[in-house]
Amino acid sequence: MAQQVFDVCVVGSGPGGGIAAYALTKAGLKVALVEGGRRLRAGIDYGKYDASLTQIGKRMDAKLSGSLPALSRDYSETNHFVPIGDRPRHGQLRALGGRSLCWAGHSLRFGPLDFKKWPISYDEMAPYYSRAELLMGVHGDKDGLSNMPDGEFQKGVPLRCPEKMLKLGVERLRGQGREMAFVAQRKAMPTEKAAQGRAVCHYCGHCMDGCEVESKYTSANTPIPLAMRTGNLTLLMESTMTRILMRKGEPLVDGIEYVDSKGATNKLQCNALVMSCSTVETARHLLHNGIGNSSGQIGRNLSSHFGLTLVGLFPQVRGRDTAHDDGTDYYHSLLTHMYWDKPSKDFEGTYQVQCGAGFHRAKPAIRFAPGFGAAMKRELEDLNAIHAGMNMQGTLLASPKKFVDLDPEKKDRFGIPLPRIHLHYDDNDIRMAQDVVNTCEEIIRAAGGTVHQTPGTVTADKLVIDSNHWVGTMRMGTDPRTSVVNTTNQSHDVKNLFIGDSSVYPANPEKNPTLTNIALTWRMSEKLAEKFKRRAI
Amino acid sequence: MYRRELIQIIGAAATAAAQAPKQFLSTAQLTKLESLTETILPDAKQTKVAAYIDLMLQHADEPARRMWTSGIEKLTNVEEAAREEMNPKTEAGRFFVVLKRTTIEAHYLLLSGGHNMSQGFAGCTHANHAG
Repeated sequence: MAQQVFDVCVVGSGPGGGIAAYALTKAGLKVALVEGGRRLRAGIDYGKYDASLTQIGKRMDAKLSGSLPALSRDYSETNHFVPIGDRPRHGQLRALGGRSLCWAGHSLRFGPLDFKKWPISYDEMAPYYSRAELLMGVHGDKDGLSNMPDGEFQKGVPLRCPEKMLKLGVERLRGQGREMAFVAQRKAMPTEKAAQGRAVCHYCGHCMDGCEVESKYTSANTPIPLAMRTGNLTLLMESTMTRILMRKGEPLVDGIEYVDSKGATNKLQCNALVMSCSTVETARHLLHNGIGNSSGQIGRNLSSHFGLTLVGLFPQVRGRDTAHDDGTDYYHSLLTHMYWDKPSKDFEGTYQVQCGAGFHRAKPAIRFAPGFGAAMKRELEDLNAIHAGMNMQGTLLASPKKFVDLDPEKKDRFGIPLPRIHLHYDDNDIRMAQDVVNTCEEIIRAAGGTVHQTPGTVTADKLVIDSNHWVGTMRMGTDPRTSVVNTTNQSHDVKNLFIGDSSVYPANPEKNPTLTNIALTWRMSEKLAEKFKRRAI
Repeated sequence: MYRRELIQIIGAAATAAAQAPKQFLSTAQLTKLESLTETILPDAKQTKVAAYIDLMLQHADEPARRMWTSGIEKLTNVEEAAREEMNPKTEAGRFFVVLKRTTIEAHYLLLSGGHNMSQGFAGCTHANHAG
């Protein structure tokens, strides 16, 4: 095959890669988007029926486990990394759009305080947040919070009765001088008007199974089709990058080598390369290719979110109508504003708690009441109606005990070494989690509820890492000795190499990473397009 | 698996007993399973949980099928098996745990048709729940 030449090659079509493809093609650049998976059709290749059906089938062999979206089970890579230490997990979906197909859609801006730990400011990012929210169709309430700024929202989604009880508990503690807030979630699914042709949400509650009607924003249903319409995008699906090619005698990328769906090895040439493979995979490829790492920081500064769950019961809402509880999936509300202005004396970092409630009949949150028969059924339905779940999302402290490197022996089917994720919780993480447990129990009791489920005393074995929120292996900074990319996501070492995913985060607040990934990669893409215009690439 | 087929399967689960001649469990096993599920969760017979489980078993692998046919045979006294629920020691006790969870999930799934689409979402509308 004749070698293809592009202005930019983008590797990976998840949240970062999708928006990079859109912004770069819109600027008139010829772009190749390289994706290892194929296009999965909403409602055909995946959907809520599939998930509900096959979850039960899976449990019938007695291997009982938590909910698994059909997308994750049927299309995700397995054995694609080596876990070391405290049970690290890593989600990877080989499909056009990547993990954006089964993300929850939670879209929270990082705030001015969060950006104080970054070399760019909130004001620099704010216009890109606005553009991203309008494109994504984010809904939410204008809460006026200092460090989680309001955005371009469609109308927010109201709370369910037990969530109102949590809000009541929070307000009572606020009355005692505690600094916290309880607000409705902000998610990337339109509630008032179609966003880029995507229908408004119809409240079926299956967002993470894969939105069957394409209401929820994904890379596959919004930026990539927009990029295709420019006529400037070449989409290479079922094509896996196996090597980054460098120019002879120059520290510049020349192109990539990839294996296509037929197993043939091809090359494509590009004037700039954008890596959007995810925090773990981008670091893996650059470590494997041995480029861009004069600082020795690639794979370091790893962070994510970790957590645990509590459940409260609120007898005040007993007997309510639960017929229409589904909403926009389980988590509708958020405990936030924790330790923003006054850091804890016991631990470093911040956390938020995602809260949910409701009797979702297709997938009840509480599936156990003791015994059998009519009494058990009554108790089960009562528990679902009056419960509220509280799921911690705390910032994992970056430390030398947490990093990504290459396994010296294990390789994937393309011969590339597997990444190892090293996760060892620090005492700081335990102390933060204990604060969450104590605070959530207080909130439940302050609202007149009872604690139904709690981890009690926290130990490392009770903590669960978020498999989709890894950030930080390609740290942004102004000093090439301590960081991998500059403030426009450009490699310090290789001037036509850019990173378009959340691996560049120099610090990780408690908020979900995807909206910032999209806004930041949009910004990077515009800066890159400007460089092309100035012939600086 | 395509959506059309999946919807057909969901639909089939609700009408399997009446219409589908295809069946994995013997009629005697299916009758017993129907009785067990109804004992564990009243109205499970109405939502046809046993037919749904049979449908799943038609697509299951051999170890899962063996576990279910053996469990149906061994579970003769639900009350006795339920006493072991928190720490099952016998095959009947272990099977009770699996059967109960499957019955609960299948019952509510079939009740909702896998899809509980609201006409909008009002959230809490009770003045006395306001914080």
